[in-house]
Amino acid sequence: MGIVMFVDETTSGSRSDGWGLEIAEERLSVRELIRRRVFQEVAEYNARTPEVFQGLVQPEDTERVLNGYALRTPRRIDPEKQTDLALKAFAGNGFLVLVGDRQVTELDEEIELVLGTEVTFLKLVALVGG
Amino acid sequence: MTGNVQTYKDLIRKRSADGEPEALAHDLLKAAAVNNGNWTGLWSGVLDRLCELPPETRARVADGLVTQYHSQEAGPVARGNALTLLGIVSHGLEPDDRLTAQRLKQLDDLSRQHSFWYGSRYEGLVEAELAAGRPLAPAVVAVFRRTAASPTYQDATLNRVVRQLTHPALNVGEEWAEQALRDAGDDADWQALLAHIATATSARPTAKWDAPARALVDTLGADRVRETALTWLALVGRPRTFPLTGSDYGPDVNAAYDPYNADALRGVAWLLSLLPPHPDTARALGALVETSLKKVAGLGPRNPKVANAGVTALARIDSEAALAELARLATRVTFKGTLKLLDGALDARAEAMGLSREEIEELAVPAYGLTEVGRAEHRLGDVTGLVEVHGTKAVLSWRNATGKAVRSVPAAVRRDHADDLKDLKAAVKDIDKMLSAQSERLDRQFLARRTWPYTAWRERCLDHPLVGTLARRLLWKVDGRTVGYAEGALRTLTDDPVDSGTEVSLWHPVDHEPAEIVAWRDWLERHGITQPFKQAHREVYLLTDAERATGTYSNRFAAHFLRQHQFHSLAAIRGWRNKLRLSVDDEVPPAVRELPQWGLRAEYWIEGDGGEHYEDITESGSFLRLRTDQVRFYPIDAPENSAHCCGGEYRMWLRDGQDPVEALPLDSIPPLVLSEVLRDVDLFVGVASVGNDPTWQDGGPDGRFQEYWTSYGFGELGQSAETRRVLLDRLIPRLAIADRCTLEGRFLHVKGDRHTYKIHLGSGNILRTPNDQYLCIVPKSNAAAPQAGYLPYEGDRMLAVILSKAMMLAADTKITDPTILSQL
Repeated sequence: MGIVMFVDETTSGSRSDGWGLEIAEERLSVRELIRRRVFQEVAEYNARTPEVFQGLVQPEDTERVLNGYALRTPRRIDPEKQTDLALKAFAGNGFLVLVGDRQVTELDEEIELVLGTEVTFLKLVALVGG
Repeated sequence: MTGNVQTYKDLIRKRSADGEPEALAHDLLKAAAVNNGNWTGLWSGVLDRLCELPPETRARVADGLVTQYHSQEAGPVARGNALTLLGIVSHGLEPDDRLTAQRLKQLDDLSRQHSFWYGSRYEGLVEAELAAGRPLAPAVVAVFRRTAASPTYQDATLNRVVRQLTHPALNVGEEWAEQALRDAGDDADWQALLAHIATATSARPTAKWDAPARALVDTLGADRVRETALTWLALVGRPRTFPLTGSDYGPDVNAAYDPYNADALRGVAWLLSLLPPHPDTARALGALVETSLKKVAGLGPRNPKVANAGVTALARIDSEAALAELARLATRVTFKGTLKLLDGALDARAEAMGLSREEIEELAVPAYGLTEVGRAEHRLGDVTGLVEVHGTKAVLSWRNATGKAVRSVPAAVRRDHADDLKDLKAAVKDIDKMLSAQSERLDRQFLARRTWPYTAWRERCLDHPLVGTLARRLLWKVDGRTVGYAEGALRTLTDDPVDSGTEVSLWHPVDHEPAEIVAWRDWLERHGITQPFKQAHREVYLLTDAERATGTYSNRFAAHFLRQHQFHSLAAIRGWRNKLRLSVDDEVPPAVRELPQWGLRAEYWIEGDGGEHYEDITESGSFLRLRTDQVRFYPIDAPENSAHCCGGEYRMWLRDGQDPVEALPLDSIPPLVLSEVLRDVDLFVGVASVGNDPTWQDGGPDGRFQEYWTSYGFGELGQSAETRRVLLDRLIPRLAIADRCTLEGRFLHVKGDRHTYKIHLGSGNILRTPNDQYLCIVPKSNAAAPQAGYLPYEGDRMLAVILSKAMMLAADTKITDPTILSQL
């Protein structure tokens, strides 16, 4: 019930203002939380189809540009596919999710969403040996 | 132009034949306007014609010039030309007072110049003055001498006139020369000495130069000459007594030596080498070498000629102090020409004594009066002066008759032992300098592959009064066993004394297990030993899988942007050979370190980075910055690689039917060599990178280095890293790995299951604790999606990199990437 704030940690300590998402339930699995966020992002994009997709994970066949991902050919983004990518990225440490003051690590973990809960997404980087 | 010349030659003949020399003056000024007052080349023929005219005709031309000078239409340029021409036509005429005041004014203006273009023919002004029997102002003499001393243009007429300028013996404007002139006064012998030292124009002293110098020394007295000359040398390099104007485009002439006096300085150095040896002489010559090699913007080393004379002089002096000074300079000097001379001098001395070069350098280290390792007591009356080495500093302290320490120099010493006090103070300074030189020399022994016979090593290193203060704080290997010096003896890790052996070498961590390295660090700490340079804590660079994959080159320090001049001097200090990249059409070899003991040559490939439109270059045309590329190894005798100054591929330069030589596989390089070479390169990048410059937060010129700057960081944390630290401080407690992470200083410490790691908050570099092994893990470049240039990503990418590394390392048993696993 109520609004959950999604905050992406950003550069030099200042954080994005975050954006609110209405969620009716009081308890939700991490998997579902991610799905809701991705669906919302994709829906907003598809409604306006701007040149750059700003979202949690990089859609297929896109290029990384300033503040997001540019689509090579303008098209609608599939929310299901995008969710799959996001869940895969979560499993592979592509980003971290913090609910309130705690990192959640399991997709099936049920989290309590009290009023004004802040959910933070921290993007990480893929690493290889050099 | 040529037609013009002929016209004026004809005019000279015609006007004098017609009896109109006054009108000729007008024509000559017109000619000067045509040639801009430059009477060289074909125009010199016109002046020759003029000078061939009979004196009475020339006198009338001179009058005509005076008229022209005063005429209404003459501007400052025409007046200047008239003065010059007047000087020329007046040559050999009866002296008179034509335009004397104006000429003096012109000369006075000239004396504020560094030099002038010989084609301006100003020597006429001097000749006119000499003809009038007036002495020239010293500053005027100086500018003519400087001009004649120019190596670029040699002009017979100018030289002839300058040879007549014998007074003063040295050029004014430099403190040392003015002091010398004051010291000489009216004394004919001293004046002769000054005149003689100014004739030191060749590269080395000849017997012909030495003979009169010796005679003068005999007349004046060797001690007196030495004491006086040393006070002159002490003033070398001081700011000029009056400034000069140089050209708009050249280097700052006030920072350079007066070229005429530079010859005289060379003479002073040679002169000193003819005197009986004295420690003060060696000290002063060493200082002269270093002062003369100080770099001046746009000029480079201030005066290598004088520096070389200092070395030549030291090499000629047969004394321990001089040899010590040569050995000290050999570790300090980086200028190639001078270094070569130093090497030659030391090699010659070694050969003469039947020793190796390393041995002569070791034997050359004087004890400076120290009687035991790092300590000496000097009794001066009732008082004892105590010289003690603390770390890399020597300290002089005092005890009174009752043995009590006193704070300042006792009055009795000042009064009764002034000379001893002076000597002690000088020794303390010498010890300081020698300690840092020796510390650097020992640091270089890792790659010199040096071993010592045990007894020789004890004598020259461990128990040497000066070197011992350093050697006793290092770890050594005696017959393969690691030992350190503590509580009066060499000891093993378990503190068992070791008092004999056959062969000794310097300990390096690369040959040892991390556990052993850590144990020795603890040992040093337990015994309260501070090492003179990083040995136990030395960074170790091991071959990475990425380097095994690339085979013959390492990309570990590629794609950095370095400040070229800083890199250049650092490289020289670490024994690398490098050429400044100029924005010119030329080929240069990479930065090279030769390792003759290993038969290897290490190369760091670099290229100039001038910006898109070559705007990032200095006034002298050298690039401000370099881009870096691979590190490679070749056999030492492989043909030289080179690439264009402005960038492009390195290629092997083959001549005389040489075959190309492939770079050596990195896994065939001895680990010690690889580690030390990469450590040097890491130092270059760590110090000279533009990524270090906090003022480049905007990415430097046009923001071109934004991405590079952001992703970079070594050493102290910049502002952005400090911010990152604050952020991490807040974030980490919320993470699942919180109990494995601690923030300490510049690092995020992460406890894994295999090891503990520390991640640098500025650069994101990882060091494996406890042995500080560099762990090479980099962000994966997405091959499928090409990188979009320098676009900054959302968020702080470095923060993401650090967090990613922390997450990965906290679960280091789950790592599957073989290129990372192999490093753990």
